[in-house]
Amino acid sequence: MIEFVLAFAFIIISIFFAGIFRKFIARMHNRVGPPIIQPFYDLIKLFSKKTTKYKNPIFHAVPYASIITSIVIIILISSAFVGTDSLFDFDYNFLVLGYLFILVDTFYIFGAVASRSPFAIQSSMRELLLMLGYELSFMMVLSIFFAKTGIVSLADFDVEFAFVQAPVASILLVLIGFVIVRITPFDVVNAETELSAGFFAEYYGKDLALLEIAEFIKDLAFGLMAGLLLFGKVFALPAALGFVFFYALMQATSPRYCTFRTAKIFLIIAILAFIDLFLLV
Amino acid sequence: MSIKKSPWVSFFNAGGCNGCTLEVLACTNPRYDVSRFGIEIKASAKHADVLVVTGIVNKQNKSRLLNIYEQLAEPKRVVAIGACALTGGIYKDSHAHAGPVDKIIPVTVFVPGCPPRPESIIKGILEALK
Ligand code: SF4
Repeated sequence: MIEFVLAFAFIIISIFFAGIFRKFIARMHNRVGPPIIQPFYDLIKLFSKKTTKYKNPIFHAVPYASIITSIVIIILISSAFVGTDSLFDFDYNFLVLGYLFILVDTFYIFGAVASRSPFAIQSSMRELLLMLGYELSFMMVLSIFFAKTGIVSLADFDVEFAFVQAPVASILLVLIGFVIVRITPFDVVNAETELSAGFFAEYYGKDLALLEIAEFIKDLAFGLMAGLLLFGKVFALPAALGFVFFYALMQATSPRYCTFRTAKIFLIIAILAFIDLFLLV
Repeated sequence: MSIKKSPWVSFFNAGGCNGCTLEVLACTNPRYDVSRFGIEIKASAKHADVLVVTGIVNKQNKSRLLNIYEQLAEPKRVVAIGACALTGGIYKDSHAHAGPVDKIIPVTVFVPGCPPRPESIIKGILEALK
C-alpha cells in the first residue's frame, strides 16, 4: 500500500524536478527563468484548453496508455524503496522495468504515426533507429548491475556505491539516459528546432498535458533508478537531483549530434555493454 | 486565468524585412528573458495560446496564416507586430499586399514600430492575456 503513496509523492516531485531543470538551464544561460512551479501552471492551462476529437481513436488512446505505463514504472521504482514486503517485489522485476521504459516510447510511436504529422513520423523513424542501439544495451546494462551484485529484485538492491563495482556499466547507463530523458547531444528524437515538437506535434490540450506528465514521471523514474543502482537507496533522490543538474548542464552547453552519428555511438555502447556482460559470464 | 501564467507563443513571419522577427527572437535572450513570465516559444501552432504575426501578409501566404490561426486551440489571442503587419508599412503599395492582419484574422493587440523594441513586444503579449 505504502508504495502507492510513495509513487504519488514521486509524481508530484517529478513535476517539480521539471521546473528545477528549466531553472538550472535558465541560470546557466544567465537568465532568471520561469518559476519552479511553472510546469504546474502549464499543466493547469493545458487541461483548461478546449480539445476537439480527432477521428483516429489510437491518437487519443496513446496519452492514456503512456501515462498509465509511466505510473506503473514509478510504482515499481517505489517498491524498491519499500522493501521486500512490497506487492511488486518479484524476481527479475528490473527487466520488466526496462521493458516498460521502452513501452512508453513505443506508444509515442503509435501516436505519432496515427497523427500523420510529417514531423511526428520523422521523430518515430529516428526513435526506431535508435531503439536498435539503446534498447538492447539498456537491458544489458541493467543486467550487469544485478549480475555483479548477485541480486535479482529491485527491492533487495541494498548495495551502496555499486558504481565502484561496475564502472563501465555506470558510464553506459548515464549515456543511455541521454536518449531516455532526451538531452543533447543525443536528443535527435525530439530535436525541437528541427522537428517542431517531434512526437507531440499534433497533440494539444488535455492529451498534451497527459503526455507531458508521462514524460516528467519517466524522467524522474530514470533518475531514481540510476541513483539507486549507482549510489544506493539512501542517495537515490539526491542523486536524481544531481542527474537533473548534470543533464541541464549538458542540455545548456552541448550541440546536437546528427541521427547517424548518434546511432553509431549507440552501436558502440551496445558492443561495450555486451563485452562487459560477456566478461561476467 | 490559467493562460496568463503560461502563455505559449507561436510566431508567423509573413514577410517584410525580417527585422520584426529578429526582435521577437531577441525577447528570449538573457537580456529580455520572456521565460520569467512563463512565455515559451513553441514551434507547433497547436501548442500555442498566442499567435504573433510579423511582416506583410501577401496573397500567397494569406491562406497559410488562416490555416495556422485555425490550428490554435481556444482560447487564443493574436498579436500583430510591426508597421508591416498593422498597415503594410513600406510595402503598402505592393501588388502582393493582401491587407493588414486584422482584415484577415481577429487581432487582440497591435504593437506599432518598425521594428518595435523587445520591451514593447513583451508588453503587447502580456496585454493580450488580460
Ligand atoms: S515593420 Fe519594419 S522592421 Fe518589421 S518587417 Fe516591416 S519593414 Fe521590417
